[in-house]
Amino acid sequence: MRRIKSLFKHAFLILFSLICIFPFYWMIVSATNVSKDITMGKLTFGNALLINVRNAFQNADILRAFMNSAFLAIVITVLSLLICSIAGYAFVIFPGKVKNILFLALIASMMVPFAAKIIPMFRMFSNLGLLNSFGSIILPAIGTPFLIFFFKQNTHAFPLETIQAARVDGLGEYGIFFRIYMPMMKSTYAAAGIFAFMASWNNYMWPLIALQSTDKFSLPLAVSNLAAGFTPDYGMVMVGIIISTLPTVLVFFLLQKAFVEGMVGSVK
Amino acid sequence: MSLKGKTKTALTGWSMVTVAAIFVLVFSYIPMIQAFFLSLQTGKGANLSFSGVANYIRMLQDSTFWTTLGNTLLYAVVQIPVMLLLALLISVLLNDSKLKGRGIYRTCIFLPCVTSMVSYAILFKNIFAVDGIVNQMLLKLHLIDDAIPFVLDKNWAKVVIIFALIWRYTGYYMIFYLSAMQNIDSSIYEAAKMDGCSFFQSFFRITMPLLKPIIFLTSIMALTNTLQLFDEVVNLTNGGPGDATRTISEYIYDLSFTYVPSYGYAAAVSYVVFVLIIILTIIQKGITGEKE
Amino acid sequence: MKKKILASLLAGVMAASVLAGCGSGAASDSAAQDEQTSEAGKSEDNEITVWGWDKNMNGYALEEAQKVYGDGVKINFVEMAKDDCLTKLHTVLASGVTDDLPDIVLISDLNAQGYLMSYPDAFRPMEDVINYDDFAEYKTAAVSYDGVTYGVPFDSGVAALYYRTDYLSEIGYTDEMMQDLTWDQYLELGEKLKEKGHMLQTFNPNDIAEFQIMLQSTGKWFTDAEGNADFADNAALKECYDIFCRLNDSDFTKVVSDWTEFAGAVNGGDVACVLRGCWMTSTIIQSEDQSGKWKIAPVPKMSTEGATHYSNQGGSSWFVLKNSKNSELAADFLSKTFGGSTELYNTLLSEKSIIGTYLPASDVEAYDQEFEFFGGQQVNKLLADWMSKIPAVDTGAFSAEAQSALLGVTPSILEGGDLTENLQDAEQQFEQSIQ
Repeated sequence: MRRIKSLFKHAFLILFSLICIFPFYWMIVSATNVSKDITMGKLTFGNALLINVRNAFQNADILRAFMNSAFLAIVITVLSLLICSIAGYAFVIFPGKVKNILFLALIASMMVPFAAKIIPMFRMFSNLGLLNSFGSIILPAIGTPFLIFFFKQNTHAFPLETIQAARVDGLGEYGIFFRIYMPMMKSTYAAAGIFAFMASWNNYMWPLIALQSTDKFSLPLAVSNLAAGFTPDYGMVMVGIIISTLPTVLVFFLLQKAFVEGMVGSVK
Repeated sequence: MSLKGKTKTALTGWSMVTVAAIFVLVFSYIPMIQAFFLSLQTGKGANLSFSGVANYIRMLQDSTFWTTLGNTLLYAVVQIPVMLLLALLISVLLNDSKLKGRGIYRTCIFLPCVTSMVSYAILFKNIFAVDGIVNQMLLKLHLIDDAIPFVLDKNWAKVVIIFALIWRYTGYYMIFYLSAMQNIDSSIYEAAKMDGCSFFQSFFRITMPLLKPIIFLTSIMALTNTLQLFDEVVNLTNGGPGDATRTISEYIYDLSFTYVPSYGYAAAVSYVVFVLIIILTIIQKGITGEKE
Repeated sequence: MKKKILASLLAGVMAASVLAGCGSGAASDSAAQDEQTSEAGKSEDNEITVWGWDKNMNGYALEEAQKVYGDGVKINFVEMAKDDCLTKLHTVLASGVTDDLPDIVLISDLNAQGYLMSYPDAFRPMEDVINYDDFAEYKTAAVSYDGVTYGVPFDSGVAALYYRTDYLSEIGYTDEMMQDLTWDQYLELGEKLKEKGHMLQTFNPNDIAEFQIMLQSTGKWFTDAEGNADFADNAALKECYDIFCRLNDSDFTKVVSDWTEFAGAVNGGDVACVLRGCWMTSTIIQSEDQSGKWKIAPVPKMSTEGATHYSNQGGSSWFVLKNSKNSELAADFLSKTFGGSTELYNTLLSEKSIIGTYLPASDVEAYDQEFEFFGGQQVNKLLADWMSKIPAVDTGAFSAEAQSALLGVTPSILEGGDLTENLQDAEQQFEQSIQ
């Protein structure tokens, strides 16, 4: 009985995994094919990989764009995790009526479609003199309402006794956050890190508007240029796409371990 | 605790939320408020003039607005519950530390959300093409007599979009559930097992209640994302056939950048979406029973 | 246990602070770099910034133009995808910000009047430096607004019927028989081709871009001269829908849903004919194995009054922004290159087959080139000849709105709904959307 159950479980997971991985497989296959074969949906490996790679690097400054995106994603992920987690924590540990209203106000801001905010934001960053600088990308990404929300919801599961015990031990409030909360909530930070990294790495619309010179362009902009001609060379586009996908996969690999480890030190 | 201590704690609490709050208020609220004033103006491009609620009245007679709004809500109502339940179910299966190969499953299921929209659109359309693999299979199994033009039929196109959304984002929401499950004490499950609880009993009686805050969070997030849905539809069907799959976000974009721009009207439509998300959030709060 | 927590904690904090330190350090570095580059930019006051798409076509054209103009100018071409380029231009102009404006922008002809209408005073009128008699008439109309001409016309989208000579000879059709087809004759090819196992052309029920070709070939458009919808009483548009329905009901079209499938069908040899602007050449010649099997002919003629074999689809023009840093230099640059150099057009034609709309260049030697891929046809010469005969239409500012409104009722028309009623509905939706 138990065996049948487990077999059923695996069958379901394998099937679902295959459905999920297929397009990823196809993306990799496509990078080795010429454009004509890709549009006709060829499913097997070809021999155009080297040509596609060469074309991709010739047609866009991929290396430069990659470095720009990596710099932005790392800075944004670190800063936004730090600032949003401490806020999410405080909304639970130090509750209050005014804070509740503030919290709702913060969350509401993520519900306005971005298209409506573009022109005011562009004017604002022009006034700040920050257009065409990385500051214009980093500053609006630091306070991410979703991250505050995410940390707040996860803090509900945080054992309050631990905090009280630490207070008795004479640890300050910031000390408790940095020394107790942060290490214990490793899996939450991991999930939030994946979210923040992906959001920054894939961000398209705002960098397109705010960055003016080609040497500042982020990776998605560079890859999009590859596909811009009347007759896109999909082979080289796929190479660009894979280069822009791999870092996210890598970040997932690095952080996913934290999912299985559980709350560190939750000795109850 | 002394009065002084209390004030000090309160101050610490405020200091912790201040930085984040300032960032959100400055970089989100100032543009939001300006967008609201924009929504009270009419005119093409830079030729704007104040006209009160004219834009909001215009919406009432705008059939494209209602069609795209209806499509968007349909996506939300069908896709969100199915996707979140599936994500939750998979998370529970993968949370079992005795399950072999769970790392591999986890990675595979996560991959769709990082697969580029461009490549996935090409592939999806190939699969669902008139002579594509799905039609060939259905024909062979004699489930249908004629090939279905999935992307070109107004009902099937919606099904394809919903399917694509579920496929793409289930793994993404799985991350949030998996990470939250790590914060649940595993001894609770062991105790439940000892009491003879089945898999489904412990799923509904332990996992669901304990994950309530996260389920609420993901449902708000999914709602926000689906109501602002853009990329998938543009790449898969470009809103067609006709307006059958066009979303409200696509319409806002067209009003601002594809047509001769009506920035005021686009801002007004955005504000309606904003109010709608807030209303639906309050309703969801009631459904999930989340308390503040 | 506690020690371990403390250790990992410290490590975490340190890592975070190091990263943060690095971050700000790098940020200030790049800020310093910014200043340097912008200072460098200032010292070189002969640099012209151009926003556009397609480095291999438009970017190449600029490079060649720079060579013609000489050392007096440096070109900084910022490449973006076409839609992105247009979106970004809208944002910048709408915000009223004037620092960091590009000097020249490329705008597609169908969008041009929309920009001119939306941002009065943003563009520099060019009548003082460009002789517009030198350009194809239909092109000049597209880049003017309110009686003032702003753009410098660039490439043409002169339309052609690309056809497979091998497939057509199977049904006994020679090149001569393809030169003067009506739409009825063209559709008749479908049945015959079908018997031989070929499709006539692709069909996308969700794309009415071919209407642009059909309408302009009769001198009509979606809108009238005043910019009002011209749907329900437009005989040419009704004929478009009649043809569209016949294609939809037929079994000799290859149904596609987007550009990739379309290109796949063409390159894969599924279809015998393709009706598009001349930029389609670059896609067709991708299939090297089909070399010598393609030719071009004038587009089929409609039965509406005023119909011709000549039309246009796409094309774009250069515009100078009035408030940019080097706007005068940019205007001078354009007038001496795209507005006055036959040599430039000869190079563009012979190297990239870019068909310009500059009439004095219509007898340059590159037109005599014979194309092996097209069975030795003098493709450029033919296209240039057809271009000079394209009926001029005022496409107005609202082509996108019109097509969007029509697309909304197209499924209902294809299902057999009443044409006039549906077109009236679309007119209403159109009037609503141009408010």
